[in-house]
Amino acid sequence: MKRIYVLLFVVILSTKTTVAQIEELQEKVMDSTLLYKNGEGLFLNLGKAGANKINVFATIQSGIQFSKIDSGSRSSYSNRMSLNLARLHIQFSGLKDKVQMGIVTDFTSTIPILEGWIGFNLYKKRACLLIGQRQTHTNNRLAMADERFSSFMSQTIAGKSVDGAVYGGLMQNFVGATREGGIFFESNFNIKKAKVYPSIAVTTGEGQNFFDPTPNIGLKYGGRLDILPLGDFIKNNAFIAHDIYRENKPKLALGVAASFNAKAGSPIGSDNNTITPIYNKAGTLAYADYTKLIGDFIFKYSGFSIIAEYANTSVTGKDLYTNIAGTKKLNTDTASAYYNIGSALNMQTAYVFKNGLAIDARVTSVQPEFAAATSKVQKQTWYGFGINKYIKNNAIKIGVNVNYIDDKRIVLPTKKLTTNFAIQIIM
Amino acid sequence: MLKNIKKLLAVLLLLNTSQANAQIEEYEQDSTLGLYNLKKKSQILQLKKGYILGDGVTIQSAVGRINFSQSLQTSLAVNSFNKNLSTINTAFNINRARLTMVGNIFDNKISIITRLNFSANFQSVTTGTRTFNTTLQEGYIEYRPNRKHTLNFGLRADYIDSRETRMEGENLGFINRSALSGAFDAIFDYGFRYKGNYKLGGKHLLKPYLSITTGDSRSGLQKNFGGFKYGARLDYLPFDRFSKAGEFYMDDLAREEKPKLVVGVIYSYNDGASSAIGTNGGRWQYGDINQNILLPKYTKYGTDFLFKYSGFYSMGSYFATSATIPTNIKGEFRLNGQFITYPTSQNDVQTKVVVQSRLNLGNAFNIQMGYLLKSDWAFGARYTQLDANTASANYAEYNKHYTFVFSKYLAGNNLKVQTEIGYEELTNTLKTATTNGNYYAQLMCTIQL
Repeated sequence: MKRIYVLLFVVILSTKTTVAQIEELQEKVMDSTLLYKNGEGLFLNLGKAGANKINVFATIQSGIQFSKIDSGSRSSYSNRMSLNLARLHIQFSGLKDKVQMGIVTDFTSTIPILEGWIGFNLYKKRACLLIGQRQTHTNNRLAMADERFSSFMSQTIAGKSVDGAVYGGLMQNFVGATREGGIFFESNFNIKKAKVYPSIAVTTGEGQNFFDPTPNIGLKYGGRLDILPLGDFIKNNAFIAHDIYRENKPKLALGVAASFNAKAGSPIGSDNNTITPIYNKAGTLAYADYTKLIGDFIFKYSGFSIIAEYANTSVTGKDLYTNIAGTKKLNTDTASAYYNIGSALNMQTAYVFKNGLAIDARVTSVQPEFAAATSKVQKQTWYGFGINKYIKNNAIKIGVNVNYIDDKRIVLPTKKLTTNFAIQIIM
Repeated sequence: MLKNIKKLLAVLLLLNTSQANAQIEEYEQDSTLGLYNLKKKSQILQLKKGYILGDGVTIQSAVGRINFSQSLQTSLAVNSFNKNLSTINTAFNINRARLTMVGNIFDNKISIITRLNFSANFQSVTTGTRTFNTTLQEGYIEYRPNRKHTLNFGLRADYIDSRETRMEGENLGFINRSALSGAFDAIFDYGFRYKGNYKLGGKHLLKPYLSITTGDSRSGLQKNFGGFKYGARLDYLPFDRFSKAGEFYMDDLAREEKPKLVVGVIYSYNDGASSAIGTNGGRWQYGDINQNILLPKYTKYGTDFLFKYSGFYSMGSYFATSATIPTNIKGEFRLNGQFITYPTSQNDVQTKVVVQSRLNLGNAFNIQMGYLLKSDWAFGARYTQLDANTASANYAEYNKHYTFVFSKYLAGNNLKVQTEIGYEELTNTLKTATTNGNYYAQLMCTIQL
C-alpha cells in the first residue's frame, strides 16, 4: 500500500500528468472499473491490478453511391444505399496478458461472425500464438487494418468490398477476403532503434468460409516480415492509410509477404471450391497451387502518409487437367481463366490536418499475367480521390470519395465512375 | 483504504495543470453518469468486483444484477476418408461464439436470459435446410417461486434430449457431442418448461422436468407446424447433488470426494413432426386428398446416467425413436407451398416408407469415460453406435464412432485446449476397397470471459 501512496504523490507533483496516467493508476489500485473513450469504446478493467481487460465497441457505417458505367457506346447509371459496416467488437486480454481474445461481428451478411480468435502470449509478449479466424499476415499492408480505418468508405458485405472501392484494384483482384481461419504465429524484437515483426500463418486458404460443407483439400502457408527502422508507429498506424494519430516523428515500415496456397479451389484463394474442377491424371480433384508475393512500404509523419504495395500471383502444378478424362492439360493460357494471376501496384497518399480533415489520392495499376479475353485478370487502372473529416477522436468519420476504373479488357472495355458518400460512428 | 485512494485521486485531479484539467473534464464527461439524470425509481448500478475468468461482466444493484458473458471456441480439423490416409481434407471452424445475458434486475425470483451465437449461418446451404435466423439460441423468462420449483417460457435448450445436452457446448470433455446427440437431439425449442428439485430423504434427490414445446425448434418462431411436443425427464440422484454443479459439465473438475451419480429417463411425443428430429420444423409436410395437412407422430424415449468420483467420470445414454404415420397421406407440400399429389401407382405402404425416410428412426447408445489428472490434464474415450431402422432418414451411414480426447484445462472450462482423434466407421454395406470410414483429428481452444 505504501507504494501506491508514493506513486500518487509522484503523480501529484508531476506537471505532465495526463488522464492516461490517472487511468493507469486507477487500474492498479481499484478493483473493476469502467471507462468510455470516444472512438475507442468501453473499457472494462476487471479484477485487481487490471489483470483482465475487455474493450467493447460498435461501428456503424452507412453510405450512398452513385455510379456511371460506359461500355462501348452505351452508358448506364445506378445508385444504391447501403449499410457498409454493422459491427460489434469485443477484445479481451486476461490472466495478466497471457491470453487474448478477439471477436468481430458483422451483420451485413448471413453469417454474423467476421473474426474470432484466441491467442496465447509467449516469451514476455515477444511472441503470440493465435488460433481462429482473423486478418492474415500474408496479404498487402492495407489488408491488415479493418474496414473502419479505410480512407475510402463504400459498401462491404461480411468484410469484403462489393466493388473494390474500399481498398482499390490490387485487393479486388488479388486478395478478396482479408480474413482466414488457421494458426498464426507473431513475434517481435528490436535491433537497436529498429523494430522487426516476423510472422507466419498456416490457414485453410479459402477465406472466411468455415460454414461451407465442401472439404478443403490443401492448406495455405505464408508469412510476413515487417521492418520498422525508425521504431514503432502509434498503435496500429503502420496498417492504416491515414496518419490519424499524426506521428510526431518520421516513421517507416518496409514489408514483404509470401504465401503458397496448396490446391486453391477459388480464383484468389479466398473462397471454398468455387472454380470449375481441375483434375490430376487419375481423374481425382486436384486444383493448382496458388502463390502470392507481396512487397510494401508505408511512411508517415505529422499527418502525411504515403503507401506503396505490390502484389504478384502465379499458379503451379504438374499434370493438371481441366477435364476428368485427363486430355485437356492446364497451361498458363487456360490457368488464367481459372485463377487471378498477374500483378498489381497500388500507391496512395494522404494528409490529415490538425482539425481532422483528410485528403486522399490513390492510383492502382493491374496487369494480367496472360493477356487473353478469357483471363480473369484484365488490364485495369484505378484512380481514387477522397476527402474525409474525423471528429471526436475518430469516433465520427464523414467522407466522400470518387473512384474511376479504366477497365481495358480485351472484349468490351468499360469505364466506371463511382461516387460514395458515407458516415461512420464508432462507440 | 479504497476510500482513501479515491480521495487521493480526487486531490490529484484538483492539483493538476490546466492542460490536464481540461483533459480530466473531458474524461469526467465521458465516463460519469450525471446524478441529475437519476429519476426517483432509478437504481445505481455497480460493476461487480473480484473477477475471475468465466465470471462475465456483472453490473449489480441492491435488488438484482445483469450478467454478460462471451464465449469463443475455435478449432482446426484434418480428416481422410481413405484407408491409407492418402487424401487429407482440412477445415477451420468457429464452433461457438456466444454472447449470453442473464438478468434478474427486477426481482430475484424472475430472470430473463438471452443468448446469441454469432457463429451461425442462416443462409440455406442445401435444399433440405430452410432459411431462418439461427443466431438467437435462447430467449426466455424464468420464474422461481422457491428453491423447489422453476418455470420458464421461451426459447432455450430442451431438458428432454440426451444428457450431453444438459451441458453447455463449452463445458464438454470432448470437442463435439456424440453421434447419438446428433442423431436424436433437437436441443433448442420454444415453449413452457418446468423443473423441480425434491429431497426424498437422506441424500436422495429427485429432479422432474416437464415441457410443452413447438417441436419445430427455431423455425417455430416464424410458424408452428403440427401439434405440440410433450416431454418429460426424471432424474434421480442417490448420493446427493454433485459438487460445484458438476452435473452440468463433463470432466470431474471438482474431483468429487464421494461417488456421485445421476440416472435419468426421458420420454417425448411430438404430435405432428415436420422434420427429421425437430430441428427444422416445416421441412416436410404432407396432405390428404383435400390438401389438409397430415404429419407423423414422433416418439422418443431413452435413459442416461452420469457418474463422477475422484477425477473419474463415466456417462452413457440409450435413446430410441419411433413414428406413427397417418394412413391417408396422398401428397406433400413443397417449400413454396405447392401441393404435389403422389402418383396413383404409389400405394399406402410405399407412402409410409417415404414419410419414414424423412425421420430419424431407430436407436443408439453412447458410452464414454474420462479421467482428470491433478495437473489438470484430462483424457477420455467414447464409443457410440447408431442403429437405424430399415425405413428411416439417412443418419447412420457411419454407425460406429470411436473417439479419444486429450484436454489441458488452463482455467477450468473457461480456458482449455483439447485435441481429439477419432474414427467413424461406415456400415458394412457401404465400405469399399479404399474406404472404411472417416479418420479425423482436431484441435480446439475454448475461452469463456
